[in-house]
Amino acid sequence: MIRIQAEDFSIDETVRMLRKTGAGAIVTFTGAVRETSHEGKPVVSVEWDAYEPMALKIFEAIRREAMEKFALLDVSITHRKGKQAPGENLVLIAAAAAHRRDAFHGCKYIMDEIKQRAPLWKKERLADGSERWIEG
Amino acid sequence: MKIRCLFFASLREKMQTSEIELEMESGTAKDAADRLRLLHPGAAPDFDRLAIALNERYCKPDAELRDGDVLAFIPPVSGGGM
Repeated sequence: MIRIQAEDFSIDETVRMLRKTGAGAIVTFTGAVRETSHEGKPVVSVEWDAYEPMALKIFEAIRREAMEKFALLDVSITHRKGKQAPGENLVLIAAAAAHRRDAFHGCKYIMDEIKQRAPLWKKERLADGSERWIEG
Repeated sequence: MKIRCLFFASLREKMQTSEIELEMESGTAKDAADRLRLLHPGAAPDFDRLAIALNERYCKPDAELRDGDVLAFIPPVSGGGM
């Protein structure tokens, strides 16, 4: 399943869905909003901009690549849009495979590729009132 | 031909709009970017660090444009967790 959504996601629900594949291993990665910026300043929120139709196509391409490369049985990618506070969920990757090695490697591959290719941008707002786009 | 140009993140803020329609005789993605640089000199340096997508796929600067194409100017992306 491939989704970009404003609302939060359920890890349990996603794992339950992937269990239907009969996989022996399901690896999940959850990305969340950090409490502090790169310079250690307190973060108030992050807000997203997305080229959504293209991002969904890229998610689907990455999903297919990962399934082929790592013999995955299924993959779920969920990315939030809108605005989130520190500690809130941002992204959920779940990879199901017969064995753990493929599931771990597949999950990492998907996350690394999303960070490099998917047209999504976050704007960080800091407690001092400043804000900036995180690009690259 | 008419080309729909889309802007995101910091570039959208500098261009002060999320999209512009360019009227061109013919040309490439780079030609369209050069036109936009002239229209918005304040955002011109940004175009050096952008990727370009033609009809929702990353393309090279020399990609030829056709009437009705959608060209997206993509700043370095920052999706995912931390």
